[in-house]
Amino acid sequence: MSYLREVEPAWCPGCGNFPLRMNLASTLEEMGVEKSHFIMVTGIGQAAKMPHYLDINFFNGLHGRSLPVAFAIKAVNPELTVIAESGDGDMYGEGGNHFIHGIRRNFDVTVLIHDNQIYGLTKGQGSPTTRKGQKTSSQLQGVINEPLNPLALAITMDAAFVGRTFIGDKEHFRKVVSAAIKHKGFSVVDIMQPCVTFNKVNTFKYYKDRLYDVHEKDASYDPTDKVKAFETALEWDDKIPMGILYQNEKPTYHELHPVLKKGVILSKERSSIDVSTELEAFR
Amino acid sequence: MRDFVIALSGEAGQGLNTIGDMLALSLFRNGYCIFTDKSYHSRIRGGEYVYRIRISDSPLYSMRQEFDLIVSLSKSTTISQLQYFHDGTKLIYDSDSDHVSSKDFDFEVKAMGFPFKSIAKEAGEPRAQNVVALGGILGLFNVKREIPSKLIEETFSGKEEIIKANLEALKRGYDLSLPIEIPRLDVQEHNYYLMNGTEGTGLGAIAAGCKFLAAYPMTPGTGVMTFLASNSEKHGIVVEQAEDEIAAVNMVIGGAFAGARSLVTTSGGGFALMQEGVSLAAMTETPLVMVDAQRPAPATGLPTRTAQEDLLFVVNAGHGEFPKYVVSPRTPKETFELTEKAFYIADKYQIPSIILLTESLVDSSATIEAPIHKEEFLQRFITEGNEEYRRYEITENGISPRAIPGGKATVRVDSDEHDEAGYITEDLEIRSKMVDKRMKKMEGLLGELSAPAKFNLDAPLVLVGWGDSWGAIDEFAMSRKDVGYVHYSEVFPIDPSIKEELEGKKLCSIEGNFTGQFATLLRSVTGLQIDHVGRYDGRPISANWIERSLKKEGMI
Repeated sequence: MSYLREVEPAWCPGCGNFPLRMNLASTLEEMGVEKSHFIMVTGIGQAAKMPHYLDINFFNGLHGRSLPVAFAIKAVNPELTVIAESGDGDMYGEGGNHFIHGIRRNFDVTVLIHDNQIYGLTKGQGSPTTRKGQKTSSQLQGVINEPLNPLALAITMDAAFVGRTFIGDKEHFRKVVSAAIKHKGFSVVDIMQPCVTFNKVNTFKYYKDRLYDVHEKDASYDPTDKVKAFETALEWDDKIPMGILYQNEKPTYHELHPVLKKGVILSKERSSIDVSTELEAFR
Repeated sequence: MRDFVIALSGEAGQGLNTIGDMLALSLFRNGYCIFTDKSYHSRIRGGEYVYRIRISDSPLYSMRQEFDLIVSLSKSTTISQLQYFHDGTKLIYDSDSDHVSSKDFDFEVKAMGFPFKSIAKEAGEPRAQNVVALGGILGLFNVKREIPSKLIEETFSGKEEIIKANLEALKRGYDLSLPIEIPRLDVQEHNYYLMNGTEGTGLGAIAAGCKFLAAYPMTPGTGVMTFLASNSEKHGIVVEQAEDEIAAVNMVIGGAFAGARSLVTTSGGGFALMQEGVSLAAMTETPLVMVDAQRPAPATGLPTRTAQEDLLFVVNAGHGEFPKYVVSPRTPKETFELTEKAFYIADKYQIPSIILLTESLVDSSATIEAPIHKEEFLQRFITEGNEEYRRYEITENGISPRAIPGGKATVRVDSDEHDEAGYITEDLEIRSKMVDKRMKKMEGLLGELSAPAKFNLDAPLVLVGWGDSWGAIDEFAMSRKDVGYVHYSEVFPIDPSIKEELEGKKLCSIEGNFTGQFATLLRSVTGLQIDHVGRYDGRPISANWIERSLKKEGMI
């Protein structure tokens, strides 16, 4: 059961999306995720083209709006495994509000963000995660806005699962992404990758030199320690933390919802009301 | 046809809504026909609140602006309502509160003060002054006292002391025997229902099998959301309050895509935020059912008033070209029926279906016959598919078989232009075929439409209208021999064949807007010349407003 579609992706040669695609397909295959009950929801951007290069169910919607669509798909059919996937501009910029409120909803979804710290498809503008001072095609004198720290934000909001991985470490990717998919609730994985065409600062080497796994560095790292996780998420510059930074086992949207907790599958429900009985309330 | 209009006025927070509802329901249950409306300010306490009830012996679907009796609990609202007094209007006020005196009027007013507050205090509940007024009015109409007594018992269920005092206040109100003459109205056992547009739309959605609703609260569209929320557990419906309207529309598209009938509700400003979603539904060919309850705009406008200003905006909603279906019900009965149909059309053609309401329609309760539920509207047109399944297969009628994820078919849906399988494409031959395929659905859609309502088309003047102005237009036309009408509740698309029937007639549209949006739309389809008289002050169209306006324009 291959998750790959035989096709030539429309990405630049050397793009971080290539290894991400291979890593993701093999992770899903190894996990044995049932294809008929798997769906990917994406926004718009180079990252968001991912499902076109896989052999899966998908909903490729609007820029920034993958999370509301993913939420509703999961709400009406909880039997589906849902991944929402897009780039940093899509998920943290255009879709920033949905990111915040998606965490609050804590529906069971895995959110994969291709974070290359730049806009690719629109040719090199700064993204919410572009560092201060970096010169881009629309911030010619350098970015003056503070960068968003997506992991610190997610931890502050008490997201169910907060992780980071790197396209250059296949084994690490498999470990973090499969844990995120298995984890119940809103699981965020920020995936570091280079944009070979538009980001000359955050290169493959840049990430390779700085990324370290929190568990490898400290075997006693406790991902349920929220304060420690927050502190770790603030690290950048010389050393960038990756791995499972934060995790909790709080109940999901479905487990709390008065209707959904009964196990109903709304996509299979049909009208069953007796209209004349209902009308009696209006006499 | 005989009628009588009562206005209850006071400040928001004085319990007027509760008392107004009790008054309307008691009169209705006693056999009268009722039409209500509410005029209020966009605030929670204070400000003006007017609850009007039109009482008649056969159903009416519009308000008469000039009332026959006003029961006012505050001086300021008495004064603000003076413009709606006619020569015979009677005023009843609470003589225990700050009240009007003859120097407040520059014309003669038949006013009577009653010590509502003292009477309520004597009954044991000082706050029940409005129940005393309720009893006074119901006594006037010989309404059996057990009817409002039952409502009081239900309202204050479990609070025995309060019930006792309110029942006493009600009795003392009846005992006032108000010295007011009312017309003789035939009261009889009837088989009607009392329902407003919010309830009709909500019940229609439930009957259609709607299982998912997402919305961001916005007056006056919020009612449908809260109606479904209050029915959520009973009927197994998920109601999600979204972080914004963009999220709401995308959620509803996701819910519909995954197989549940889904609904998004809003008002004009929220609908504006949903534009890209309308276009997404069109491109992905996902059924999308939306409610836009109109209020005066632009921007925030008048949140609690009524208008018919969103028609052309809604008809043209979303960037790009694609088919859509827009309904604008005339009555609460039609809100039910057209909501069911909107779900059916959205599923059958995989297009956006928009239900265009108004503040006056959602807030007004009317006496209606049982809405007609149609089993055929429950058809979902969902296919199981197989391994060869292509979501956007080119077909003769433009409708591709629709599968949902979780079955045998792999379902690929894309907001980019796509090939038949659903994969992104830049092949411009495929692009043209896909546009043709989507637009082809318009042909089938035209065959789904019911004819507009028509009356006396041979009259020297034929009025043109749409939506909930029907009650006023119908009442006005019925009252004379020289006026007919053609009136639409399915407003897009429009069947151009109406041209043959209307050619050569003097046409004038009556609409709740400045520019005559429906006249523009009908003209664009038929080429007919249509004059226009519009109301854009936030108030609903009434029969006597139409008469005054047409006289002013020299049309009658």
